[in-house]
Order: sequence, then C-alpha cells, then structure tokens
Amino acid sequence: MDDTFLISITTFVYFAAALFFLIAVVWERRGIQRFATAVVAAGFILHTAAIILRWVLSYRLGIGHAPLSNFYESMVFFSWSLACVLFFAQRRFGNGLVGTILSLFAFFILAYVSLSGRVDARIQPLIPALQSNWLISHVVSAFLAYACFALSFGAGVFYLITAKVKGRLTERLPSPDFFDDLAYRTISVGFLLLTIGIMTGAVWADTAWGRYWGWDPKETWSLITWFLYGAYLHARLVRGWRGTGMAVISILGFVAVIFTYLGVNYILSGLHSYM
Amino acid sequence: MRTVYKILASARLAIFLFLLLAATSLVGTLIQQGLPRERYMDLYGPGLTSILAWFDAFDLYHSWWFTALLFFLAVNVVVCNARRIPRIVRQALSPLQNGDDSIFRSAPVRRTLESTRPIDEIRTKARRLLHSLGGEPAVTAREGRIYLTTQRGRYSRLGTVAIHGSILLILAGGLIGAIWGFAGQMMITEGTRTNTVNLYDGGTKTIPFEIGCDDFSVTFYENGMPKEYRSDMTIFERGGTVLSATIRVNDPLRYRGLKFCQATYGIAEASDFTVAVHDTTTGQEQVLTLGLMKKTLLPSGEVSFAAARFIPDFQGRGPALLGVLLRPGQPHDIFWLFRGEPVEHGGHTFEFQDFTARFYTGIQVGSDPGVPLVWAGFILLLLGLTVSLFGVHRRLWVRITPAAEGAEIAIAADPGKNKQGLETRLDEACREAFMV
Repeated sequence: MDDTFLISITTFVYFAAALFFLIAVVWERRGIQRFATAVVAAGFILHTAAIILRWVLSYRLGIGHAPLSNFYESMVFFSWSLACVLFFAQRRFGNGLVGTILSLFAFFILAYVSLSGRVDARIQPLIPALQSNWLISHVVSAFLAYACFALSFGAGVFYLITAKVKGRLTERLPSPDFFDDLAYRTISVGFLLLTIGIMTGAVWADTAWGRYWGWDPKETWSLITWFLYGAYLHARLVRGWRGTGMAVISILGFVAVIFTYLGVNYILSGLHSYM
Repeated sequence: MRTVYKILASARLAIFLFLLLAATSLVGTLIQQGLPRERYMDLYGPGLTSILAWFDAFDLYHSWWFTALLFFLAVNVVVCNARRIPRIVRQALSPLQNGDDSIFRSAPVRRTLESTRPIDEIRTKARRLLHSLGGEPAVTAREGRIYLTTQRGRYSRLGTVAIHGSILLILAGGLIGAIWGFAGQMMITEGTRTNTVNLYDGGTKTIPFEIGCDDFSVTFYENGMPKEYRSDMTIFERGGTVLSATIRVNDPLRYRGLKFCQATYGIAEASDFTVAVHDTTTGQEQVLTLGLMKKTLLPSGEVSFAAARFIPDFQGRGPALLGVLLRPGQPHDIFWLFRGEPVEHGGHTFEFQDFTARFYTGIQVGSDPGVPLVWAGFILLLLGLTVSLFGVHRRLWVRITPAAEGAEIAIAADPGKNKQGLETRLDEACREAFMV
C-alpha cells in the first residue's frame, strides 16, 4: 500500500467532516458536532498513518528522511497541522464553525495535492541543504503557525460577515465578538509558533549558509508576516482596537502567510526554492 | 520636545513602524537586490534606475533610511517601555494592596451578595472561594470591615519586559555584526591554499592563516539530484599544518572565530578529454585522449582533430568541447561536442566521453561577533512570548461589611485575560459558597 492512497481517503474523510460541522452549525445540533469531531479524528489517524508510512517507505528506498522536504510533503503536513489545530480550537471555542473552517482548509489542500494530478508525489532524496537536524523543528513550527493563521483568517472573514450582513443565516452564527476574540487568540498562539519558526530557521541558516539572516525573499516575507501580526497584537493589547480594522489585518496577515509559503516559490526566486 | 517624546512613547508609532517596515521589506522582495547596474538598466531603463538608485532600492535592507526605521523602532521600544516598566515591575513584584475601596467600583468584574450567616462563617467561605480562584488570600480588618485579597500569575507581567528587551538584544546583535563582522567567499582550487577573502561588500581581506583544499567531491543520487558537496580542507599557520577537516553543507568548519561554510564549486581546470572517433567508411573506432590545442592525426592518415576550447557548463547543457577537424586543402570544420552526444562531421562520428577535472571549492567565510547577542535575544523572546501568552495575572478582592443580620459581601476581580471564563467560575463558586 502506498501513502498517497491513504491521503486520498483522508481527503474525503475531511470533506465529510466539514459537511457534518456545517450541518451542526446550521441546525444547531451538538450531537452532530461531536460526531463531526470524531470524523476528523478518524481522518487524522489515517493522515498520520500516511505520513509515518511515507517516512518508512523513504527508508526502504535508502533515502530515509522525514517527509517534509518537497511541495507535496509540505502540503500534506500543512493539512495535518490544520487538523491538529482543529482539535485544540474546537475544544477551546466550542462552536462548530471553527471545525468547519479548519476541516474545509484541510480538505482543499489535500484535494489539490491528491486529486489535481499537478503535484509530484514521488518520494525524493534529500538535497544537501536540507540534510539538517533543524528541518523537523523548523517545518513543524512554521506549519502549525500557518494553521493557526488560517483559522484567524476564517475568523476575520466571519467577523465581517456577521458584523455587516444581517439575515436569517447569520442569526445562527456566533456574534461578531466571538470571531474577534477567536482571531485574537489564534493569532497569539500563531505568533509564538511563527517566532519559533523564524528562530529555528535563523539558527539553521547560520550553519548552512554562514549567516542567520540574509534578506532572502522567504526570510523577508516571514518577517513581513511577523510585522503584520506584531502590529495586530500591539493594536489589540496596547490600544485596545477591535472590530473591522482588526478583522482586515487578520485577513491581510494570512495573505502574507500564503505569499511566504507559495508566492515566494512561484513568483520570486531565492534560496528556499525547494520549499 | 514634549510632543516628540509623546510620539516616540506611543504604541501608535510601534504599529505604524511595523506596517511601514512590512511595506518597505515587501518592496525589497519585488525589486531584485544586489544585481549589477547594467541588469537594472535593462529592467527599468536609465530614468527609473537612477531614481531607484537614489532611494538605495537595489540594496534596500542596508540603506540609510531602512536602518533609520530600525533605529526608530529601537528608540520606540526603549521610550515606550521606560514609561511602562516601573509600573509593570511594581505590579509583578509587590504583594497585592487591599483596603482601597475604589476597586469595588472600578474593577472589570464586580459582584455584590448578601448573606445572613454568621460573620465567621462568611469569612471562612470567602477565604475558601478566593483560595480556589487565586491562592491563599491575605486577610485584614479595618473600620469594622474585613478585606481579603489574593492574586496569582503576577510574574507573567514580566513577559512583555522580556519580549521588548529581546528585540533590543537582537537589533544590537545585528548592529554589532554589521560594524565588526565580515563575510565573503574564498575560491580555492584543489591542491592550492589561500588567505584572501573576497568580501561581499567589495574588496578583499587577509585572514591570519591559510586554508587549502585537498580535495573536492560532489556525489549524486541515482535520479541525478545532488547528495553531498564535500571539501577536504587543511589549515596552515606559521608554516605548519594545524588541522584537517571536512566541510559539507550544514556542517561548517569553525576556526579562530571564523566560520567556513560550503557555498559553491566549479571546475578550475580540465584536462585529458576523451573523444571516441568512429570512421563511418572503414568502421574503425578509436578513443583519443586530448589536451587543448594539440592536434592528433586520425587513423585514415589524412584528417587531424583537435580540441580548441572547453566550457564546464555550456548554457546549462553541461560540459562542452569545441572540436576542430583539419582537412588538407579544405577550411577547418569547427563544432561543439556535448558530453555523451555523438555528432557526425567529415565522415567521422565524434563523441565527447569524459575529462579529468580539477575542482575549485567556493567557501563562504565570515565572522559575526553579534551572533551570541542574537541567540540570547531569541531565548529571551521565546520565554517572554510564552509567559505572556500562557500566563495570566489574576487579582481578586473581597470586602465583608457586617450588617444588622449577616453581612454584605463585595467581590472585585481583575481577570487579566479571559474575563468571561473567570465570571463563569466566580458565579459558580459564589453559588456554591453563599447559595445565591
């Protein structure tokens, strides 16, 4: 059996979970929400198994390394991080919309890598620059941060929807304050993780390239993202800002995250071209 | 002067600087940094190039104005925190004061209850309630009233001090590195040694010892991806060998405060080019080993062949050899031979098979005395963020005012974070203790 097969099953499981979460929100059923969480858990087990299997397979090929080394593997891990954050966030915030946002993200990412046929899923050996003990901590912290920011992006969007649109459907959704708070809390955790990601990257760059910071596009974009969320946290904690402006920053922040992750590789050139 | 101080001390300036640094950093990723001047002329034309050059847009992150923005950020951090730190430290280190009645009107969370139980019982219950929410309370009595106070997590207030201190450490480390550090490359051909570094800023620097490359090798995986770049190096000092070490990517050599990292490689010299020549009429085949510019007579006895030039990588197509076919009474036939690709010329098939290369290794050399400060800043930043994120400074006050029958109980709380959570727990605890 092949790990990509497990990933395609996981894709459908996450899609089902997203549907159940949505049903739970619209019809306000706690039981369905618990069931949806269980569905994500099942998907998460499959997903984890796929990652471990790929890890094992790479050793069988004689090029053993953690499956965090190319675009396919990073997308699979991004999706895994989203599911991971889902459990914590669902527990902490309770509302099924949190699960809907995260499982939809997790689904779309897996759907792109496993169904579009455009992503090379072959296991490849590790190029010299990636042969480092820092690989795992750097990638794990960065993607967990991205996953938190995906949720804060969703929270920002739903803040704008619930604050600006009044209708029968938005009545079923939590209040704008809930989304404001959700964005703030996930950004706080994401900011810590992003900081860890940048730091581990800097320490790694110091051994690999002889400098901890070189204004390479990926480094610079991670700093741009850090500045944006830093501005968000100061605005919130020191100035007490809330509402529309903050929702807009949490959306812009995620645009910067996506650019850090993908835009730098596809639009700009730099040292991180392998991801 | 007061307005300048007020601006420098404001969090608004911090937010503004963050957004401005984000925006300007973004510009630096759109304009490629550090290209030769002619490339910019091609890209932007002379007019725009000179405007961009005036703004230092081609070395934006080291420009005077970007440095000035970072400097303002540092000043902002210092002034902002100088104003706030005394209060923060006081709150973090001093025990909670009680007895100021205004807190029962101003605290973010307030409750007033009445109980008809005896005063001693009320006091015990209030003590237990505070104990469950914030730890053992301090109890005082004044003007016939009983005051109980408790707090927990007060040290988490120091998180913000650590965070802002760490930013200053990192900026200071960067500044020290920029002033007293250097970075450059050494190109060392196998079998040679040097003590000259070509600095990235231009110019050269002589280091106090020599470093030589004994051997460079690159290995590939089966699919052609690079597996390892490896330079076997020796350091020479005062005429003798000091140490031998291998430098790989992610495995640098450190010596006398300098760090040597594997950065690049190339072919310094190539010789012994082997070319297989197949005579299409006679079917004879011969493998020639050639040097550059030395002609060899082919077996037919009439035609000679010579290699005129070698290029290690011809426009991304790999190593190429310029072949010249010399035929008496005819013009020379000149053609490029790519490794492993046979071509036919003048009744012969030529295939460039292999060559012996002498590599050079490109070693990045640098020293950065600011690095320890940056690492210290990283650790402090991590501690500060963790404490600020997960720590909560919660403060609670209770005042018991005896009434004709029982007492009035006023509760005030500053939850620090998660006001709703504390309110829920407080109301539950009140219900349990006083059955209201």
